[in-house]
Amino acid sequence: MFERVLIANRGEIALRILRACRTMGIGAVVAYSEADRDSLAAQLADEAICIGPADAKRSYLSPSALISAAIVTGCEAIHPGYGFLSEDGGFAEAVAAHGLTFIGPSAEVLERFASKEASRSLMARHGLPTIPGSDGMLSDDAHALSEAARVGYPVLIKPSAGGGGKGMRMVRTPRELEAALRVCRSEARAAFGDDSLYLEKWLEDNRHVEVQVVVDRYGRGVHMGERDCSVQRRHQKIVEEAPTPALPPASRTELCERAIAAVVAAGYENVGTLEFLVDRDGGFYFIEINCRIQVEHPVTEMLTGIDLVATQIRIAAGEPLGFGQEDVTSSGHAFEFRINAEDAEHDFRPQAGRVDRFYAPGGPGVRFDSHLYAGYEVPSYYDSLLGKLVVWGPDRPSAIARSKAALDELVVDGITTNRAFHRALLENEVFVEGRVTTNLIDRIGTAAFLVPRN
Amino acid sequence: MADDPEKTPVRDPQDRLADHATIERLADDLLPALAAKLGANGLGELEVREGTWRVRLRMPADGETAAARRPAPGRQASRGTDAARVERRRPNASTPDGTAPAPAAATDAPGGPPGSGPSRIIATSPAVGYFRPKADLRAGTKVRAGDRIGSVDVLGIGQDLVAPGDGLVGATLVAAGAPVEYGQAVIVLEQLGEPRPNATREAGVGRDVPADDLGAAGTAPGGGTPAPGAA
Repeated sequence: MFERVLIANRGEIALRILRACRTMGIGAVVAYSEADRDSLAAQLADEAICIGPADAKRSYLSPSALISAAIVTGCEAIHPGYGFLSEDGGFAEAVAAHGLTFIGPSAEVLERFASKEASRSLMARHGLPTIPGSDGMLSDDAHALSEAARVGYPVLIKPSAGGGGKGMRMVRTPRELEAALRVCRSEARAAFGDDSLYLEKWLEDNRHVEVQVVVDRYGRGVHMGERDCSVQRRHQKIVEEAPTPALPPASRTELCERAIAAVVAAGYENVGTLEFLVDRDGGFYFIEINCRIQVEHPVTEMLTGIDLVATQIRIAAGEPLGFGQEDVTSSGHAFEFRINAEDAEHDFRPQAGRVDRFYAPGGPGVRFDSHLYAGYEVPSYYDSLLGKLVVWGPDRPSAIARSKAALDELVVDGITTNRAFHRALLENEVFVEGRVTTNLIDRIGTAAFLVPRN
Repeated sequence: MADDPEKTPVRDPQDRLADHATIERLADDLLPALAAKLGANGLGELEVREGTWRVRLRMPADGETAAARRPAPGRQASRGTDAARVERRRPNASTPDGTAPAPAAATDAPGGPPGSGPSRIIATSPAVGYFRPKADLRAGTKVRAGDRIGSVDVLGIGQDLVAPGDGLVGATLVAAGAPVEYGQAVIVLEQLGEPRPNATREAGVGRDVPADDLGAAGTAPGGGTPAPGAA
C-alpha cells in the first residue's frame, strides 16, 4: 500500500479522498491553488502544497505542477478526484512515466474509453444495447443533417469529450440542428479542447440510470448496483438516488449483471460507472462510461457499506479486489442532494462569497460531505458544488422524510444555495411517486418548483 | 500548514505598496465618514464601492462579540470599527488572463511580516519544484528588474526565478536544492531608493511564467474547468 498520496483536486472530493487516506493509514498531501489556500482540505492535510494560481489551467489542470508537487512532497501516487485531469489519459501516462501511480484506470484503459462514440461501439460489441445514433463523428453540417434524417428526429447532439452538459443540445428539426451545431462545437472546443460531435436518437421521457462497477487489475469485477440520476437541469445532475424507482428488481439485476460482464470483457479496470438511458417501456441503452470516482458515489456507499474511494486506492496499489459479487449486499434507499452555490430563482446563477454561518444536518442515515466552514470564502473560479447531503432510509418514503428534515436543518448563511429548490422538489408529486424523467425540470421550468405551496 | 512561516502568502510587492496606499486613504478619509453616517441613520450595513475596492461597514448584531466578527489575521484590514471590512473585489472567473487575485488583497497593515516593508521586495517561486540558486549570485549583487536570479527545477526543466524589481540581493530564504511551492518567498532584494511602481510589470514577474508545457508529457485540456457536474 502507498505511504503517501497527493490529492490533486479541491472542494468536497479532496476532503473525501483525505478521509479515505486517513482510514487507510496513508499520508495525505493536498495540492491547492492560490484561491484554495484556506480550504478545509488544505487545512486538514498532513501536508499542503501550493501548485499555482487560481486559474485551473495553471494549477489543477497542469500535469507538470501536479507531478512536480507529488515528487517534492515524497508521494507515490496521485488521486485526481473527479473533473479536472481525472480521465485524462495523457496525464495518467505522464504520472506513470515519473514512476508514480495514477489512482484510476491506466492510461491505456483511459485512451480506450476516451471517445464516447468509440466506447459505445466497443460496449455494443460486448453485448450492451446502445441508442441508435450517427455512424462515427459528424464531419460537417451536411453529414450531420443526413445522419439525423437517418436516425430520425428528435436527436441529441453530443460532444465526444467531456461531460457536464456542455456542448449538448436536443433538436427537433433540421433547422434547429444547423443552428445548434455551431453552438455545440464552440462550447465543446472551449470546455474540452475538442469539438468533435456525434448524434444520438433522443428518447422522450427517458430516465438516467447508471451502474457502479469495480474491477481489479486481474480482471475480477463486481457491480455495486445502480443509481438513478434523472433529476437533471440542462443535463446537470441535481439529485441522485438508489435503487432506481424506474425498474423492477429483476430488471435492475439484469442491467447490472450485463453491465459488469461487458465492462470486464472490454478490459476495464478500477472504479467506473456505465450510464444508461431507460425508456418508457423499461428498455435500457448504454450511453457512456465514466472512468473515475463520481460525485454521487456516496449513494452507493450508503446502500452497500463499501468505501468506494478506499477500494479505488487499493485497486490502484495492485491489490486484488478481495471480495466477490455475493459479498456485495444492498439495503434500503438513499438520496444525494447536490448543494450548490447558485441562485435557483435567477437561472441558477453561480454565487461566490463568504459563508457566515454553517450548520450541517445530522441524525440517523444522514451524511453531509462538504468542505464548508463558517468564514470560508467560496471562490468564484471553480464549480459551485458546496456539499452533498446524502440520506439513507430503510425504504424510499422514510428516506424522503429524513431528507426533508435534513434539508430543513441545513444552514448556510452568507451565500445563496439551491436548498429551497431541493426542498420544493421533495414536495413535488412526480418526484414523490418516483416518476421523474431527465427532461422534467427543463420542461416545466424551475420556477414551478419554487412556487410556495399551501 | 498555517503554522509554517514558509507558506505565508507572498504577493507582488508593487501591488502590495499600491494596496497600502489605498488602504491608508480609505481608512483615513472614507471610513470615519461612513462610520458617522452608519451611526446617524441607524442602518445595519453600508457598502461603498470605488474602483476595484469595496468598503463595507456593518453594525454588530446583538449578542455578537467583536472578537467573533474579527476577520482572520492577515486576511482583511480592520480599522475604524471592528465591523468594517475593506476588501478588493475578486475578478470574475472569466478574467481573460486568468490572473489570480492576490489572496490577501487588503492585508498587510503597516508592520506586516518582516522583509515585506517598502524597502524590500521578494522574488517568489514561479512553480513547484526544487530551488537552484544562480551560481554567481552573492548577497550584495546589484540586480535589475527581470534579471534571472535563480531557477526552479520542475521535472528536470528550469523555470526562471526573476528579480521583481531593481535592488541588491539580500537573504536567500531557501537552501539550494530544497523543494519550493508556487509563490513561496525565495530571495529578498533590498531596494535602492524609492520603489518604481511599474518595474515589475515592465520586466514580467517571475511568478507569472507559465508552468505548463514543461516536462510532463501530459496534455492539459484547454479551456474552462470541467465541472464535477459531469460526474
